[in-house]
Amino acid sequence: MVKLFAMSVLYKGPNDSTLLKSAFELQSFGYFQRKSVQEFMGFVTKTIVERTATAARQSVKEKEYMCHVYVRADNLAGVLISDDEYPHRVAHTLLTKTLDEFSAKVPSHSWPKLNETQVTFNELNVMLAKYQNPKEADAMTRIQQDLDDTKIILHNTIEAVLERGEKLDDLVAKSEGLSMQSKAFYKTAKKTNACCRM
Amino acid sequence: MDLDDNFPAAKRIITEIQNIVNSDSKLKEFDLVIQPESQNKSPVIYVDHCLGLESWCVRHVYEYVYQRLISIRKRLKRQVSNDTIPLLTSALLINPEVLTFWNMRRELILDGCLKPDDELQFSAVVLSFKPKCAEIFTYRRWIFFNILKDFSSNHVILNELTIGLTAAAGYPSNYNAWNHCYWFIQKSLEQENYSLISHQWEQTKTWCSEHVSDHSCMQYRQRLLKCLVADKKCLQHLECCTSKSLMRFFNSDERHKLMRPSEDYFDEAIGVALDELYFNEDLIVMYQNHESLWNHRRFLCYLLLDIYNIDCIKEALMNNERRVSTKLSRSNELYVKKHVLWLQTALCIPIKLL
Amino acid sequence: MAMETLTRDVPSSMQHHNNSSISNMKHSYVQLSKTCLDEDAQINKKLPKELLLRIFSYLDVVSLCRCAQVSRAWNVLALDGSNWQKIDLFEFQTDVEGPVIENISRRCGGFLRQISLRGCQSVGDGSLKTLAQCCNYIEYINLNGCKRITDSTSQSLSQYCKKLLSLDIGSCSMVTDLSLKAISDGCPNLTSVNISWCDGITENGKFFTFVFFLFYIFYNFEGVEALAHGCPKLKSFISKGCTRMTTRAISCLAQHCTQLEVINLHGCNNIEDEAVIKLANNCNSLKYLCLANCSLLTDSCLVSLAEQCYQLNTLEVAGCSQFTDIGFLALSKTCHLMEKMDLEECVFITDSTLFHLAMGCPRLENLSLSHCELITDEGIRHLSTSTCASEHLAVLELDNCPLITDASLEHLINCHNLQRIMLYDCQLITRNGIKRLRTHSPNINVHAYFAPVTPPPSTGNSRQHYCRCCAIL
Repeated sequence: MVKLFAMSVLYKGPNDSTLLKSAFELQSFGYFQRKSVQEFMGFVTKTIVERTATAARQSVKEKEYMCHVYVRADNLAGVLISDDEYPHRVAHTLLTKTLDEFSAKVPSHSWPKLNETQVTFNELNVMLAKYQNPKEADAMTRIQQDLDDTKIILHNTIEAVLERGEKLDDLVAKSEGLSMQSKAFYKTAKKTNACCRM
Repeated sequence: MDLDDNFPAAKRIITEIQNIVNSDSKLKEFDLVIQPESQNKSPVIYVDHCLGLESWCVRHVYEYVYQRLISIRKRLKRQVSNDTIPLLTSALLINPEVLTFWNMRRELILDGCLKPDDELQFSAVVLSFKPKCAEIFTYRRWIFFNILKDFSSNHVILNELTIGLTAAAGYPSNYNAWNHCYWFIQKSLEQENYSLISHQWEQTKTWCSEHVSDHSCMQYRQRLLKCLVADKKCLQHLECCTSKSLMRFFNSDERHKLMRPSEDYFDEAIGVALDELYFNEDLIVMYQNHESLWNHRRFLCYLLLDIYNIDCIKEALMNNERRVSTKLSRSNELYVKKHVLWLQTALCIPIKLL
Repeated sequence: MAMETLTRDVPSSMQHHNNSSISNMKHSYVQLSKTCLDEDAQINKKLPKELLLRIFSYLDVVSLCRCAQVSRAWNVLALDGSNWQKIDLFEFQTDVEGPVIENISRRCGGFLRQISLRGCQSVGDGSLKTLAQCCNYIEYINLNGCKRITDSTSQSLSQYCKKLLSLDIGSCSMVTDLSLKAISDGCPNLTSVNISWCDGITENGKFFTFVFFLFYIFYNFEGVEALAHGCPKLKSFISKGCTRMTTRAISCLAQHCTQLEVINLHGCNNIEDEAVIKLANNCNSLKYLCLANCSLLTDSCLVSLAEQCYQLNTLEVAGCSQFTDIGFLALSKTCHLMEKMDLEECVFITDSTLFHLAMGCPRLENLSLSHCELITDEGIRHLSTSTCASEHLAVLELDNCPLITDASLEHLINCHNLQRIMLYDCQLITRNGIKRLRTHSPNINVHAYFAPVTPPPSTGNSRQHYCRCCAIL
């Protein structure tokens, strides 16, 4: 499926990251799953930004999902979660463009002090809807030809991004952003095929 | 110990589910809601035309309905009665893969206890939970074939095709859903209704470009294409700009000035196939390394060669494929190699990449 | 297998004289085995016909039909009208058709006392006319759910069955006012009538012209009045779901049928206090009263019932949301015989009602307080300390009482006779609370939304498919 699920803009502080704005498109998930999926995507977004170096790009594959991250030199970070059919280069171009537009709209000195409720950046929702079709980004891709493939680090699981000694299970258990239900959801889904067997 | 004593709430739960299914004709979804602990409140959640059942009770409810249904089934005189309906509803929502339970519903339809239209609605809800479940599709086709016996209404069949497409979106390469759609296309062709096939041809084009690794969708298009090419009547409702593709195909390479093929071959059928070939090329350019796209391309080449086994087509195709393969050789290396190898065998001409 | 034989056998034996193919087969079989079976058979030698007849008279329809196929002699005996005084064809509801009824009628004649055709949807007016004509001594007839019958059947019954005591025409949606009028003319001894759900006039409204519609408005109004005049011995009047039932009709009934003991007005939501007050004033021997979903009623009904109907043992007032503690206080002072009370959704009642019921109704066995949201542990404490609690209380429904906590369950340990308790959606009830109750009274059946401790054995699960939610993470 060629699909963008989530797009977020964050500020990467010295110790942790703060979400500045996020947009979701989760209609393809079941009604009762959306809440947990959204929470979990938010959790992954934050975790991955914290584990990406400044001025670096990463793409993390997890089953059929892709998580693209770009942390700029000025510590503004963008994360895009898509299906793995969505062209990776387009995804990264999109991140560049998003962060450019964000910094044009919101002055850089305010980033460290802001949180999600204080930011108005509805363009993010518009972009998420528009670029569901990667063809829309075609023109942009050509401009961004200089985007060098080698700069993007590709990981095949989320675990690979984590620092040494860290376990995803522990992070999930500790996370404050995840509700009890989402944690249970994670546990159930992790046991392969578990919810089918209930 | 009697099961009622073990989990008396089961009866209440299945009644609640049945009431919701009966009362809401717009019910669209069923799903399990992960909730490992119970809190003495009803595990049936009903919001916004979506029905959820908390996971803690699923095993117990299923056990309850399963035991009862099997014991009813084991009786020699099968007494189908309205009391079994709530049991069947819950059982099939939780586990729609039990053919026996669908058969019991079939009997209830034949006895007039269930209405076929309500059953179409109910099975669509079940499909939202298990979009690949073959038993559900079979049941729907059974209702159409044995009860409603009417394939003349475009509206009804379009609705069925939409349901098939929704299910296809819910599960990658959902061949059961696509087979279901194709069955209805065949039925409509039997009725000499040629508008639906064109409609599906257009509609799945967009769908394919949104699901580029879906083998089953591509295969569905291949089946449609075969029908389109085989019978001219299928083409009459199609909107396509075939002339453009034809021009492009036969003049693809200036260095190989071609004889224009005779007018006989300028029919719309080849145009449709060529349209698809160029559409496929666009997708391969945009989405790299998808086997499904290359398989589809191979099929298209094969079809062209199979129908129009004349030299000018062969040569034009070879030129076209050489151009495409050269263009994509860097990004899709593996698939290009395979494709070229296959093409060489099929055409019996060695192809050198430019 | 047995059931199949039966459904086939009933009509075949009924049609014995019509020489149906099955009885032909039987016939030849009988001839073959005649010598060894019939007169020579031991049982026929030992037992005189009269005795056999007597034995047969204790058998049900199914067994009689089986016996009828044993031999010629038995056939005659088994199908003797005297054995067919009580007939219940409910089991064969889908198979019974008009001719079966007609054959039965001719065979049974004056012997028939009781017949139940509940759910026999294919039976029509014609065959029932034959029945009425042949069997003049029917006392009990149940036509519940015979949807094809119309007023004409009631007219036949009225004309020929003067001894009728009990009539059930529930769910016969084509039946109208005229039926009740006819019955009231011809059956003065009627003691029991059921006209539940005969209000389907609007559902079938498409078939009727507007003039008809105007006429039907008076259904259960003039009709019930006529009934009241014609059948003063009525003891049981059941009219569930007759939404057009009026206060005037019930008042009239109360006035003339003073022997009424059982009244069910479930869902007759247009009746007002006056109707119930009239009933209370005139029918002092009332034992069973159901007023569920009659939402216009107020406390004054309960007060007048309390003043005059001391015999009352069952009161069902679910959904009568205007009733308050005042009404039940009055009731508990005089109606000491109360055994069953359904107070579901009497949302205004508080612990005070429970306090008084505990004092005044020592025989209470079955109490429903579902959706009575003001009930607290204190009320349950009062209840559990009363005499009814320790000796009689068997069923207690407390579902959707949000204030109830585990403390209530502690109090209920005193109820030694408690068999079933409903606790659905009582959010303050915990698994541990239920566990404690269970340790004290292990046989109690607790209904709540908790999974049982023992997980069920895995049932036949079919092929595994990966579903989307498994792949999300």
